[in-house]
Amino acid sequence: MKTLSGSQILARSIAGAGIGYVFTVPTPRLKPVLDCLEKIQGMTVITARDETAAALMADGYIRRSRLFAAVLTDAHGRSLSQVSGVTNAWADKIPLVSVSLCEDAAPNANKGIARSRYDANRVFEPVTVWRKRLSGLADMPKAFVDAVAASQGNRRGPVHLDLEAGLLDRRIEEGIPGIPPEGPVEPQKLTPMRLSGDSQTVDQAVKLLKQARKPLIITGGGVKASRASLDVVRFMERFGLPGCTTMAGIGTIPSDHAYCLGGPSYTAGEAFHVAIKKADVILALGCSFSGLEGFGLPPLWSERIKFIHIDNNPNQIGLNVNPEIPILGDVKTVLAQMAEILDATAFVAPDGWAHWRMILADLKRQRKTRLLNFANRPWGGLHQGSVALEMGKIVEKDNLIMVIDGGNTPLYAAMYGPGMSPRQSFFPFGMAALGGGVPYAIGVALAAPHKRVMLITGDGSSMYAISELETMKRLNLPITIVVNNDSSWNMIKALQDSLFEGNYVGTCLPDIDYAKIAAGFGLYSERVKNAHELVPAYERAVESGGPALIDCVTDCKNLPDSLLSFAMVEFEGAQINPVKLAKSLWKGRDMGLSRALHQVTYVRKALLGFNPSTKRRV
Amino acid sequence: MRIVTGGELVTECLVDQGVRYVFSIIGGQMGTIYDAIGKNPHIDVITPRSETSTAIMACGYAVTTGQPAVSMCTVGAGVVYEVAGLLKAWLTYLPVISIAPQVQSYKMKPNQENLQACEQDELFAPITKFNAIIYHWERIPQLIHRAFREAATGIPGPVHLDIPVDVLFRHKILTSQRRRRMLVPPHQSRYIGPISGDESALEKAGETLKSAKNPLVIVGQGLGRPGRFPQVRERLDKLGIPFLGTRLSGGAFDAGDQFFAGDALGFANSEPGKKILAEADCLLVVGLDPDSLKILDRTNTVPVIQVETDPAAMLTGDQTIPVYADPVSALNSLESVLAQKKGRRPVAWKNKVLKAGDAIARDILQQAGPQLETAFNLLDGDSIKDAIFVADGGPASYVPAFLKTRKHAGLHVMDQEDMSGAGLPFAIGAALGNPGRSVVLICDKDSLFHHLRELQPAEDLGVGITILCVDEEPNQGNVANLEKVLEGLGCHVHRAGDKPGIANILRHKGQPGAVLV
Repeated sequence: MKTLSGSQILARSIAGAGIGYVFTVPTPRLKPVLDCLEKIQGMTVITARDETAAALMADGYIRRSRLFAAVLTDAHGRSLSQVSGVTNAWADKIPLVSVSLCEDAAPNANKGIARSRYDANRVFEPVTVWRKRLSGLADMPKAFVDAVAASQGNRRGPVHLDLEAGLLDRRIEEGIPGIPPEGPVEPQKLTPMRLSGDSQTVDQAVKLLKQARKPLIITGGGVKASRASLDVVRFMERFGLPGCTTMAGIGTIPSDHAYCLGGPSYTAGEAFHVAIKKADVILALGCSFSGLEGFGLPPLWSERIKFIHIDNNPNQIGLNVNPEIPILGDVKTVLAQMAEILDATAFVAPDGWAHWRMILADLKRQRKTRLLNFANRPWGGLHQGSVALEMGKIVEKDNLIMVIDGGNTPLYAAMYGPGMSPRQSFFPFGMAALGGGVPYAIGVALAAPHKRVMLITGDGSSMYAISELETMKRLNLPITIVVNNDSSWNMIKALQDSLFEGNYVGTCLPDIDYAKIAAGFGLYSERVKNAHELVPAYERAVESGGPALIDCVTDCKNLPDSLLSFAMVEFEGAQINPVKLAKSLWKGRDMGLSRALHQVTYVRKALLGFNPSTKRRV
Repeated sequence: MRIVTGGELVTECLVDQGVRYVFSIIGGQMGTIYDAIGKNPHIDVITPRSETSTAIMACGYAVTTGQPAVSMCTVGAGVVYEVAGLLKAWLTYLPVISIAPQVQSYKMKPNQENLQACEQDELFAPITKFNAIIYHWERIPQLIHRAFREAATGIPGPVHLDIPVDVLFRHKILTSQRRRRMLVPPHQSRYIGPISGDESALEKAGETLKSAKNPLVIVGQGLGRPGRFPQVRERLDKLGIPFLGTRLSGGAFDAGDQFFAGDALGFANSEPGKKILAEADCLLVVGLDPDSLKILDRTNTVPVIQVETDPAAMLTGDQTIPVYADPVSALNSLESVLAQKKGRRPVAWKNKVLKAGDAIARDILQQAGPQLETAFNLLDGDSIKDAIFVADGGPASYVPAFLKTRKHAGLHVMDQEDMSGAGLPFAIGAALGNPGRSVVLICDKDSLFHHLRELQPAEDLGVGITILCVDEEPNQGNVANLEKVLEGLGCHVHRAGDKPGIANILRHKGQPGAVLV
């Protein structure tokens, strides 16, 4: 009987589970596997320069394509390099299939001399939803099918498989049941679970919503998973509800929609802060109430809010907020159920809701005007807001896909950027980790072959995966990288400004010419110092045909005002030395009067909620 | 008496333990530590461009200086990059202290969708010797001391500490009395002196060695390096028995060690080497490691004297004589036993082993290929005697054979199975710890690409490492022109064809330089 090698079985198992994209870094042990994979019709193997980037690329590919992808690496450091990408996928609930080789010898928990016998599978435990170590070739096909299934369970997320390296040298008879036949791969799509809500609970939710005086919709990443973005917008419009998104839910309600409060979470400034202080009923759709949003809890959120929380993961409900009405169900399905009841009762939104919407809309308008005026002031250097604005216009005009990376840079992009659709903007919100930008852009570009991708990244984050510019060039991907180069790790530098009297340690970067670095990799690149140079530079970058980089020299004295709100959550419970704080604030006058006033206005309007002009106008 | 934050307390403990550099990328939760470091002249932060490199640089620093090194990465988002780097310290027995902030102590475990956070202590648990969360300000010194103790005691290895942000930002009064009690110097927080060894075990080992005709020593675990009993070198010289090094320790020895026969794996994988191993009638294993274990698999019928600083690392079996002692004390004692032996020392066996070692090295070098041959020709000369070498990628298999017959200041071979491309950050860490020496990274294009980004901080820090790289023309697998890439990253690039004088390049301090062959 014909026998198959371990490499062949592995390749067939991957294909058999409906995985059509594999990201990897070849090694002598993996080479035969990759050869087998490449022979499978419909299978694409992407070679990265480093394993860390390979995992992030796979994650980016899944986020955009909604198809399964795997990252396959050799053992030890090459395996654990995947951890950063896997953790991003875990925090954002992306079903990434992570695969690596491991030692043949069974793990030994006794920490003796044989260090290579640590339990690699256990390292992945806190950041995956399912794991397995494979010791038999015959088990391999089922393990991959199980892995794919487990990644879409109640808690969606990455899964990890460790394959004993010796398996690749073994052979097995082809006729053994369960071995997938040779043939083309049929890529499996991520499918949302259409779980209906319990009708009685949905009735109660509708009743509570009808009684609300100041209702609010908040959408999270679960709306993307449920593909319910359009349904949410229709629901808002039909019943006159204002809405906002969490950071993970960016794009689920376009920020420029009249009923939307603006950018995600606190980037919407006073509109969001006032909404979460004054709202009495919040319809929370597929959102986890993470730390990014302040857990939906005081001090930033009102204690009096009654939540209707719709989520198809029972473990998510009650995790941080205790909803008045918890509904276990799929967002799209439950929203349709609610709409049906409201329609059946010919519900008409009360006038108070319109008034409430107008207050929030006025706050949004004021904030937008303030931000625009601020960015367009005659600053000496290029303002980060101007970069986001100018690039945002291009993204909007050319319908580009945007990938964001950095600390402050994503905040600027969210505050100044255009309204996005759910699959147009990508950033690892849950971990808010730096450095994924370049690999994510590659993964996203591979998933959207006919679209141009724009990566907006901070300077600190831009270097993490700089070697992957080679991958970008090799695959000739239409990616434009825009570096917001303020020569510092600016988010943390701001902390040193505000709490440590400007004692800058480890936060200043020299004046690095990222255009020169990119040119070394053969990319078209330019350095830009003024706002009016941005669009022409972008046009030349597109004309170059392949990937390109624009290094924008920005002013490190600027800060996104909404950073304050995120910092309040991050440092809750931390003792701040009042003397140091006062000294720091006094020293902070170096930032200039207009910047100081801008921050003070944010504190007054957003954090203190003092907005008399809105009350007057509405 | 003064008010001290948790971060200040951490910093003071690190300074007390002799930490000069903290390899770290900042995060907000570490604010108080960074503030304290900025105000303390005895400690500095080195910022690479990815957290993976913090731990690898710390490895390079620790192994070439013998000083403790700290890798500090921010909560969640930072530590997930660090994990792979710290694995290097785990697999190569290096006492790297990993410290990370965590989110608030009252929210961190179990995770409840905190921003950036995950249960990072569990990520590190399988690859660290010791792992703890510091929940209280008062316990910071005690647990930092313990981390250093666990890392350095017995067989060294990395440790990890999580400190929640509320503990790092806590302000408390530290009276001078309390300070004296809490902050103690290293010799009071861990045992630093020699481990003299159990007399009866040493006696038995000495008798066995005395009666052996063809004894062979295998030195492993990085022994002989700074911080890991560097005196082992002179003790081996006095002992007068031919010895092999392993991947982790071989680079500590060079042409100046008259009994150094070469690399243990080279012996295990070659015919002349196997013959020698078969003839050996007693093995003295000083610091068992994976390479020496492979040798023992082939020579399982001869008596093995195993010298360890950790009794838990002893092999079991009738043939093993375990000696719990530090290697210097053990070798001293064994030497004095051998000195009592009457008659001349067996020169023939020594010559035979050394000859086999030379033959094995020659065989290996013959397979090195013309590009590496050019690289070695460039290096040949006196100028390398003060240089530290780091070998990575394809060349890693050949560099030990080349340097075996030269004098140098240390060789560190990156195991290709451990992780990929660790050479560059490792070399930068080594250069930071040895500002008076040249550091040469011998690698290939593929391995260099993994952590290329670190050339930027190297340039910024004025770290003048020299990269000797086996280049490859741009092809389908890697379309980049290495010369242009390196120049873009601020590296001075020479081509071997230009016949650059290596002495000049090694003197080229303050900026990374590369020679492409």
